[in-house]
Amino acid sequence: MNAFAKGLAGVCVCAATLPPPAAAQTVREDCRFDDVMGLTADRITPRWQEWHPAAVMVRLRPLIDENRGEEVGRALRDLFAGSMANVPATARAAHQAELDDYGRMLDSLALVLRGFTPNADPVERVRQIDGLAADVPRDVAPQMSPDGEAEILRGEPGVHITLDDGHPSDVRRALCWSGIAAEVVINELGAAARTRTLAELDRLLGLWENFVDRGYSQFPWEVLLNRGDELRLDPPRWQRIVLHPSVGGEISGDALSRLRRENAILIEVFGLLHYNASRTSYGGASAVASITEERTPAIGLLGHWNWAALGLLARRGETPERWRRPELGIVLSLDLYDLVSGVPAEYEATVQRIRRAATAN
Amino acid sequence: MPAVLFVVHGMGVHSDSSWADPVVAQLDRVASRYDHFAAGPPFSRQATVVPITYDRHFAGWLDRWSGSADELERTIVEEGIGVPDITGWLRGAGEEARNGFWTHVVDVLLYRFFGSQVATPLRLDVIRQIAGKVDELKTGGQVVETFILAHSMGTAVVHDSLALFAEKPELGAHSFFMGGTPVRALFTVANVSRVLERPSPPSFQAYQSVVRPAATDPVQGSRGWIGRFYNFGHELDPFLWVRPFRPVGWADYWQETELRHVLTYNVHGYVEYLDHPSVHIPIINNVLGGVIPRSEADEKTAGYRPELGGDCEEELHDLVADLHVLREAYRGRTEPLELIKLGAQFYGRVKRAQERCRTELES
Repeated sequence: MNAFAKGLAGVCVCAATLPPPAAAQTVREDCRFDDVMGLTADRITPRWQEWHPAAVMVRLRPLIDENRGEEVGRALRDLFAGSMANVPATARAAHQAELDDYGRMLDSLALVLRGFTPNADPVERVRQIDGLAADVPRDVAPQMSPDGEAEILRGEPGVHITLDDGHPSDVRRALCWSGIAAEVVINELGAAARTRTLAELDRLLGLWENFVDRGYSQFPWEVLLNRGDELRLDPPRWQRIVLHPSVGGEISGDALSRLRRENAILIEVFGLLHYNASRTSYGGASAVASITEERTPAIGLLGHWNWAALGLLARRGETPERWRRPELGIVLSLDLYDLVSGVPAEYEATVQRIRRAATAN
Repeated sequence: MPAVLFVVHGMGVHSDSSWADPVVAQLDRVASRYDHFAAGPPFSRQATVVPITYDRHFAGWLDRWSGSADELERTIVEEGIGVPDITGWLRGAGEEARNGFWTHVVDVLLYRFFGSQVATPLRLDVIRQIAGKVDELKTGGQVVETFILAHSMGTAVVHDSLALFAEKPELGAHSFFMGGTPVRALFTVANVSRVLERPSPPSFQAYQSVVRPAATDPVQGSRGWIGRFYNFGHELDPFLWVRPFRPVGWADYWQETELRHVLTYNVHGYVEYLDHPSVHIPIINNVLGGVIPRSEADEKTAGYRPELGGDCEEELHDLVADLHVLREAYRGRTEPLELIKLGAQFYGRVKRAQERCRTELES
């Protein structure tokens, strides 16, 4: 049950047993959303109770739920006209211009609401809203100004209704209560569009999260290089690699029997990666240099597939032929290297465990 | 409660929403000076105050860079590999060690110059935080009044986020805010949105975007998103000397206030700005709907005397004199990099003043 329905419940239950009603005294009590919705039944004269926004919303609820905009618009106009019966003729005459302005706004609103037709398809509902949103009048509900006045239709050029403590309470209620109900109706009819917006924002933020958390790391100069168009909402699909240092493992030697395993600093000079649509996966290649403690640098090609990178290296040989008979090797990214180099140790540990178990038996 | 005040931070470390505690406490403290709050609940219980936090988008990059630099250094040292320490300058960028450059200046650098990878997710996140709260209240059957209070770089972030929201039809902003002015009042404190604005398109420029009073003429068919726009500056705030935010022709629903009070060394401070009645009265009266009568507001504003924080008043006077000199040196500068340079000089001077004060007190 929403705030309005809860409010109405309070009004209806209490009304029959309440002391004589007292009239609201200030524009705040008649027009500020919190104050209006917080009105206890004893503050609402019986003749106004059926026009309280909570009561109005309960009556309109079935129409809103079925997206029957034309009937909602007509009902809002009828309700406003009905509430006018509570405004004494002298007060009505004194504020005819404001009441007429507001009535015309409701006519315009009703015209727009005709575009909301019963439709269970959320996509179609959003399409309806997108087509109509710009024509819906702005600020139909009263809002308190910094000077303590209630302003209605402030966002509409040329139609600006300002209510203060000098206005009769009945005039204020006719305008403000109707306005509050109208804005809540608009909010309810627009719910599908808001849901769409939030879902789209979540989708885009999810893509960025994937890109940053699961993508290939970038140093500041690479982010600058890959900075892309700020008006694009989704992360880039292509990522350039430039002078990217990282830690890796190199396995190389001039013969299989003389392979050496060493930690190395890898510098990817340049390269290119491509991401999938969800930015959860990427692949690509780069030109790499591998620098180790003792030997001359090796150069090669590094292939990327998500967190793993594997490359082929060539290093100038030690014989006089040098590049004709280069020393070949492979290079692995740190994660993959840890995985591979950890296997012999794990194997050894397992063998030892089995031996100990056998000896004990 | 339908009046929602989103508070947005500026540059610096703001790890989680608790960054807003001092700001909310200051709003409560200054509000308590007025009759309306004498017997009633504090300001923050009469309105919903929602902190917007975006610093994690900077901290994430800095932590990753710092981590990579540490890992490289470790390997270079352990293995004795003879390569230059090419990423050494990135160490210390991580949150725990962030200082001076890494806490303040780098935020502006990252935001302004590092393009979509930094700025776009940050802006989408800000939009999401605002939109999520607005939707929550609207779905609960409330008439929502949205107010935004932003400080320093936060003014540019809010500007750009709202402009992006309006610019992209796929985000459905116009339908999202159907029937209302999206932001009832925007309060910008130390507004730098002009110096940090994107050069194009026009819909992203500080004077052309939807982040202008709704009463101004539509620009390229788009109406303004702001009901009332309040801009608060300070004559000695160095961040306002480069391309200051001074729109022309926004007569209706636009109010600019330049302050001269000095409360502490940090004339750029959020809390320091909020102390002045010319700043907090419009905020309180907009959000709560005129709870401070004009007569009381005028009286408190005329009688306002800042209570100087700290004991080193002489040091404070020296700082003010230096800031006047610095202001003349930077008059007419227009480039974002000038702002960054100026910011570094300012924080350096403030730090010096604080250290001198500490030494004075200790002796």
